[in-house]
Amino acid sequence: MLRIVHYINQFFAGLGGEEKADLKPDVRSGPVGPGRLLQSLLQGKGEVVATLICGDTYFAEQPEESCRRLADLLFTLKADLILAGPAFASGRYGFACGEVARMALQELKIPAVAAIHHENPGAQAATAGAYIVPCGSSAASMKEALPSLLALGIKLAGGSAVSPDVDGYLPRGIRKNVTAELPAAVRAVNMLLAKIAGHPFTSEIPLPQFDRVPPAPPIPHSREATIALVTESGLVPAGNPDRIESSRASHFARYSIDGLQAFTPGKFESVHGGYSTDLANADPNRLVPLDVARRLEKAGRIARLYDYYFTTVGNGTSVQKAQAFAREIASEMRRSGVQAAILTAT
Amino acid sequence: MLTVHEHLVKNVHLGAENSLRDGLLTIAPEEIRALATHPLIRSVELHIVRPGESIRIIRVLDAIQPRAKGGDGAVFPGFLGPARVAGAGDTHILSGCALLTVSPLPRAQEALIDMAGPGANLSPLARENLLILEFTPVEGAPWGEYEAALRLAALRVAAHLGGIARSAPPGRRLRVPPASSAIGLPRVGYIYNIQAQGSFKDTFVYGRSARDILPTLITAGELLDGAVVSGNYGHPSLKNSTYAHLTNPVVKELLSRDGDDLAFAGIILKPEPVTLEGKELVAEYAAKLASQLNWQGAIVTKEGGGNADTDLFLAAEKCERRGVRTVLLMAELAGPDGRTPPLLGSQPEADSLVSVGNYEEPVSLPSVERVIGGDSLRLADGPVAGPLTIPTAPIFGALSPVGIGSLRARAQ
Repeated sequence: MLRIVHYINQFFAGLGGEEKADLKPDVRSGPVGPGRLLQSLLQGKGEVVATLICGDTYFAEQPEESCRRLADLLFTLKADLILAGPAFASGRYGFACGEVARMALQELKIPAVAAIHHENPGAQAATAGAYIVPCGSSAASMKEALPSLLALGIKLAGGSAVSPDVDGYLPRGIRKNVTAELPAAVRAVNMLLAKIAGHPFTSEIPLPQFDRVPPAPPIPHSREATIALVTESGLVPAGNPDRIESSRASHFARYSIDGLQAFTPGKFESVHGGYSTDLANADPNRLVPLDVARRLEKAGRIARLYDYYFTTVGNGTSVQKAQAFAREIASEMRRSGVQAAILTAT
Repeated sequence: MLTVHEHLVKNVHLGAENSLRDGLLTIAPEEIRALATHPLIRSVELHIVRPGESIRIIRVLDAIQPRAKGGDGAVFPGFLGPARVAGAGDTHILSGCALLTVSPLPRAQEALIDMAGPGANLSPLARENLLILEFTPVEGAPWGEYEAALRLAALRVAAHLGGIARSAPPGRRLRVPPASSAIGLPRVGYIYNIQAQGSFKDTFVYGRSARDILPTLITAGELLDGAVVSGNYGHPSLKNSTYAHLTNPVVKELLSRDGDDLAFAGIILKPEPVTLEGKELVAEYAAKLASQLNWQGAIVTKEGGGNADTDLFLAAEKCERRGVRTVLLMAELAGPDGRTPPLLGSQPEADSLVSVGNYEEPVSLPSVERVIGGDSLRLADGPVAGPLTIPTAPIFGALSPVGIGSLRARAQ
C-alpha cells in the first residue's frame, strides 16, 4: 500500500486565511481538505497517511527553516510519495509547494509532485528539479488538478520512467541520455524533409531563449541628455524599506538621489543574495556609479541625472519578471524625458 | 558508378592462412606484422576481441572498416596508391568487423571501449569483431612521424584484410551512383564538416591534410573507397574516426532514400578552420555551393567540440539565408547532471537540431576481466580494470557527430 503524505497551506486545511498565514509547520493524521478527494481517487491503490500544513507567510519568510521542520516531520512518516497542493495561482502557496516537492525529492530522495499554475513563480521549482504538474489558476479547477497530480505521483513512486512530453509535467531543465529509437541520421533526414515541406517538426534540443534586443541608436548629444541609473545589484537604502528579496525578486523599487552627491556607506546597502556584498557595501558607488555620474553632470558632459535610481535583485529572478520590471521602468523614463540609462549588473 | 560487395564477418580468429568462409574470417598474423613494420615502431601486438567479451580497450586511436578494390586501383588513395579520384569500379567491404589502432600518443585524449556491459551499448565499435593493433614506439621516436607510420600501417592492414574477401563467395551488392537520377523529389545534400587543425587533429583527403581546403564536392563512392582518413585524436566520442568516414550513417541514409522520398544532391566536404574569418569563409562557400547545386535542404554535421559548434551554426545561418533549409546533428553539453543549457551559443537560423546525446553525463562501467592498451588511465584513479565512473565523452564514438552512436538526450 502506497503511503502518501499531502502538503497543503492553512487555508486549504480549513484553519483560516491571512490571519493564520504565520502558522508553523504541523502534521495531521490522514487526509485533510483536498486530501480527502485524493484519498477517494486512490481507490485502494494507496493511502493519504498524513497531511503536512504550513502557513504561507511562515513558509515564505523562512523557507529553509520550514523545509527543515517539514523534513523532520516527514522522517517519521515513512512516506512513499509526497504530493503538494494544488496551489493554483497563489504565489506564496505555490512557492511553498514547489520548494516542498524539490526538497522531498532532492534531499529526502522521496518521489514528490506539486500541482501549481504554470505562471505561478512557485512553478520555477521545476527548473530546480522538482516535478510540477501544471493546473488551473483557481480552486475551481480542483477536480481536474488532483487526478494529474496523483497520476504522476503514482508513476514516480512505482519507479516508472517519465518524461514531460508523455506525463505533462513542466520541463525540469534536466537532459538525460537515452538510447534513441531511430538512428540520428534517419531522424535528421525526416526532420529536414518535414522542414522543406513546411510540415511541423520539433527540434530535439531546446533552443536557448536569448531575447535579442536591438540596441537603441546612440544619443546624439549627451550634453543635452537626462541620464538615469538602473541596477540589478540590489542596492537599497539601509533597512531595505521595500523588502526587495535577496533572490528571485518579485518587484523593483526606485529611490530618490536628488541632492545626493554619492552613496554613503551605511546609508545604502546591497541585499543581493548572489555575491559577497562586503566590498559593495564598503562603497556602494561600486554598484551604482552615482559619484562619477555627478562629476560628469557638473562638468557638463551630461545635462542632468534623473532624480531617482531604479533597483532590484537579478539573482534567480525570472526573465518573465525582469521583462515586466523593464517595461514599467522604461515607461516611467519615457514619461519623464530620460534619454539614456546606465544599467549596472553584478 | 561504384559497386560495393559487402561481406558480413560473424567471427574472427588468427590462423595459418587467410580466408573468409561462412562469416568466419581467418587472419594469418605474420603477414599483418610484416605490414606493420617500420623503423619507428618497436612492436605491434595483435589481439582479437569479440562483442560481449569482458574486455576494456584503452588508448584507442582510430578504427577502420577493412576494404579493398576488386580490380585495379587502391583504397585509401593518396596513402596506399597514387592520389587519383576514387569511387568507381568494385570495392569489397568487410562489415561486422573493424581494425583498431591502440597506442600511447601525446595529446591524444583518453579513448575507451568496453566490449561488454553498459559501456558496450555506448560504443558502436563494441558491436564489431575487432582486430586490434597495439603499437609501441621505439624510444625517442618523433611522435609526429610515429603517428604517421602507425596510421599508414593500419591502412595497409585494413586493405590487406579487405583483400581476403576478393576470393570469398560474393557478398551483398550495392550500387552507389556518383550522382542522383531522381527527379521531382526534394533535393537534399549533406554538408560534412571535418576537423583539420594541425598535427594530431588532422583529417586527410586523398592523403593530404584538409586544413587549407575550400569546401569541395565529394561522392559517396569516394568516401566508401577511403578518400577521407582521420588523423584526429581529440574528443574520442566527438571525432569522426576513419570508421565513421567509411560507414557514415548520414551518407547511407541519403543513399538509401535517393529516388524514394528525396534526391541525394551531393556531399560538400568542409573544413573547420581555426579562425573566425576562416569559419565565415568556408560556411559561406559551402552555402554557395549548395545553392549553386539547387539544394533545397542540407544535413550538417560537425567534428569536435566547442569551436566546431560555431561551424555548425554558421553553416546553418549561411545556408538558410540562401534558402537552403538545414538540420544539424549536435552533441549536447548539458553538464554532468543534465541541468546546464545544452548549447554553447545560438543562431536564430540553427533551429532544427537532432541530439546525439549529452557529452558530460556520467556512466558507471563495471570491472572487466582484461584490459588492452595499457595499465593506467589518465581520467580515473584506481585499477584500470576496476569499476569506473566516467563522463560519456571518452567512450569511443558514443556521441558521434555523424550518428554512428545510439544515444540522444531527452528532457526528463
